[in-house]
Amino acid sequence: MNNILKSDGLCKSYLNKKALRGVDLDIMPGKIVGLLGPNGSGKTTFLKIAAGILHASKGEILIDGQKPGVYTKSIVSYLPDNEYLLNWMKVKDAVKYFKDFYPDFDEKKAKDLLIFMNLDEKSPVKSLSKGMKEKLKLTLVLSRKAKLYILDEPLGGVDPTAREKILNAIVNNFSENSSMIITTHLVNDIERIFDDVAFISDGVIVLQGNAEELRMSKNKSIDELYREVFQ
Amino acid sequence: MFKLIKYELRSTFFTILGICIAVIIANMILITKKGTTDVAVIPALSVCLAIGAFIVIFISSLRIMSKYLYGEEGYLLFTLPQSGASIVTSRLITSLVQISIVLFVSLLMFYFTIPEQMDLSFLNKLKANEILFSISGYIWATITSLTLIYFCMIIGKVALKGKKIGKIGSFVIFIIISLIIGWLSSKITTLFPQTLNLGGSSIANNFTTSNSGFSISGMPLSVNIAGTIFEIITFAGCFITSSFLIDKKLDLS
Repeated sequence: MNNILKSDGLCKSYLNKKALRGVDLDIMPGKIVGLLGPNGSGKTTFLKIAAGILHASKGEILIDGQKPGVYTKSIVSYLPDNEYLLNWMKVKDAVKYFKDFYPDFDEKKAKDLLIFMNLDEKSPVKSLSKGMKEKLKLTLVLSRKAKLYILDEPLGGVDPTAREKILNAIVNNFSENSSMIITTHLVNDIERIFDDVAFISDGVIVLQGNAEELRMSKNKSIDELYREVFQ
Repeated sequence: MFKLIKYELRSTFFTILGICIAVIIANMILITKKGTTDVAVIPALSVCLAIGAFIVIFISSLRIMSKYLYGEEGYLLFTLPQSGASIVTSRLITSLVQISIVLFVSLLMFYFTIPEQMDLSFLNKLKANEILFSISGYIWATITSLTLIYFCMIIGKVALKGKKIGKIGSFVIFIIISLIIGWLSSKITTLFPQTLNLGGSSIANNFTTSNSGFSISGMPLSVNIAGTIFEIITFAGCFITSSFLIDKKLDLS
C-alpha cells in the first residue's frame, strides 16, 4: 500500500531559527495519526508544509506521491488553528464557498454536520463564538471526501462538552479510504482515536509507532507517555 | 478562477457600494450649488472627488492583497486548489472591475456637474477607434500598475518574512523597480522612436518620444513600438514571477 504522506529529512529554517530539523514521517491510508509535541516543537510548521502554505528549506514531502501544489490541495482537507473564514460570510456562504472550490465537498454531509453541531446556517461568521467557529471550520473540513485530513488543534478553545461532540464528529465522518493527521495538546481527550502517534521535539520526531503497541510495550497511556517524553 | 473573482467581488461589494454612494451624495451636493459660484469650480471639485474615490478604491484593492499575504484570510485563499496564476489573475480582474465601477460612477456624476454653457460638442466628434484606444490604454495602465505593485508586495513578503519589514520592504522595492523601469523605458523610447499608428496601421519615425508605450505623441492613436514591447515584457515578467513565487516560495506566517 502506498503512503498518503511521506516526508524525508524535512527541514524548515527561518532567519535565526530551525523549526524542523529533518522530519521523517510516513502516513498510511486509513490511519489517524497524532502528531504530539509541546509548543514550538514544529507540529504546526510540519502541517503547514503538508498543506502547501509553507515551503520546506530542505528535504522532501510527498502527498499521494506529489509535491505540495494544486493537486495536493485538492485532496488535502486542512483545518488551520486560526480564524480564516471571511468576516462578511454567513455560515451558508462558507458552505457554498467550499462547495464551489472543492469538487469533493459533500453539501448534504455539511448540512447534517451543521445540525449535529447546532449551527444555524443564517448566522454571520463574525457573530459566532470561538467554539462555534471551531465547529464550523470542522464541519467544512470534514464535509470533504479528502484523501488526507490535516487538523491543527481541532479542540483548541472549546469546552469539554463541545470537545466530545467534535471528537464524535471526527470519528463518525472518517472514512477508511482517508488518512488523518491531528495535532493537539489535549492528548488525554483525543488519544482514543489515534491509530499511530509521533512525538515531535525541537523539530525532530523522537518517538513514533502504533498507539496500541506503544501503550502495551510501555504500559502507559499515550497521555502518560507524552508527559514522560516531554517532562 | 471565475469563482475566485465572484467571491472577491462579493467580499468588496460593500466597499464599492460605500464609495459610489459617497461620490453620488457629494456630487449631488455640488449640483445643488450650481450657479452660486464660478462655472469651473463645481466640475473641478467633482474631478477632485473622482480622483479621491479612485485613490481610495485603488488602495482598498492593495489592502486586500496585503490581507491575503499577511492576514489569516490567506489561509483560506492559498489552501484552495488554485494556481498562483489564477490567484494573481483573479486579483487583477477584481481590482480592475471595482476601480472601473467607481470611475464610471465618478465620471457620470462629473457629467451632471458640467454647466450648460460649457461646450461639449467635441465629444460628438470622437471616433469609435479613439474611444477604444483610450479604454484599452486605461485597462492596460491599470493592469500593469497593479501587476507591478502585487509583484513588489509578493517579493517583499517572500524575501522579508516579517510583517512590518515586509510591507516597508515592498514599498522600497516598488520605488526602486519603478525608477529602473521608468529609466529603461525612457532610454528605449529615445533609442527606438518608431511608432505604430493604430489608426492607419503604419509605422513611422516619431522623434517626439514618450516614456509610455501607449501614447498619443504627435500623431493620433500611435504607440511607441519598442516602449510597448518593453511594457509587455515587464508585465509578463512581473506576472509570471508573482505566480511562481505564490506557487513555490510564499510562506504564510
